[in-house]
Amino acid sequence: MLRLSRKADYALISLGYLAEREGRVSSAREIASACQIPAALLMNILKSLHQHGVLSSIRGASGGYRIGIDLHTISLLELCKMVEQVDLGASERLALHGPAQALQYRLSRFMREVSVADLVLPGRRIDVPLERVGVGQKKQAVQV
Amino acid sequence: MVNLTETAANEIKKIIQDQGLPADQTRLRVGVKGGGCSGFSYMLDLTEEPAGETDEQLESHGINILVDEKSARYLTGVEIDFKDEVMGRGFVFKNPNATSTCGCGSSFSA
Repeated sequence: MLRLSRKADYALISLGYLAEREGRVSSAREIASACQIPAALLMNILKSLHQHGVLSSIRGASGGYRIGIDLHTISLLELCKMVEQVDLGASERLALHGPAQALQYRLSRFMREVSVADLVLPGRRIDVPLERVGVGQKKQAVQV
Repeated sequence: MVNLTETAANEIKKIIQDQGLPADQTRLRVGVKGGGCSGFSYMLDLTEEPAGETDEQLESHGINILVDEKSARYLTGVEIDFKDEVMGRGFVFKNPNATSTCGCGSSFSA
């Protein structure tokens, strides 16, 4: 099954965490602990995001990261390139033929059209996709 | 307590019609369930079952809504909207109680 890389997933989770805190500074350790992400890997990811200007940093004992860019201006594809540090354009030119190449083009286009804000900002995300709406189930669906 | 936007209500009415459900007996059960990396996930379910003893009954833009007692504490003040965009089509919960959400957007903690 197609899925995002672990790095891209962790980058989105971290940005979601920071977006909820609206400008408050959070350390890598705080994010790692709250989101249950391996700290060492997260530090590398946050460093990449900082280098690309997605995060701004505050030094010092109470330092950390906060979002330094309007998340509407970055696409999912750009975010993946930042954290995976690969030239996805080059991977598109790899020896893919026929259906696989057509699929690759479509996926790239989709990832260019989805902004990071669509995925992480509260009120922008789709919480229950249309196909997940239960229809005509007799059993009580809600259990906490 | 739980409100639908007009767009969300119209989409629910459309699903009821498309699925051939009886409009006057169909209720929208809104709830949360445990799970997900951040705690809870939202659920929407169209049901012909009558309200249970512990269900709260509400109405928003002509849609009858059921919320069970346990879910109600997490859903106070929630507004449900509908979006149709490149990310897909679906319902968006605006929850003033959620203190954090996970990156995947499918769960929250309160």
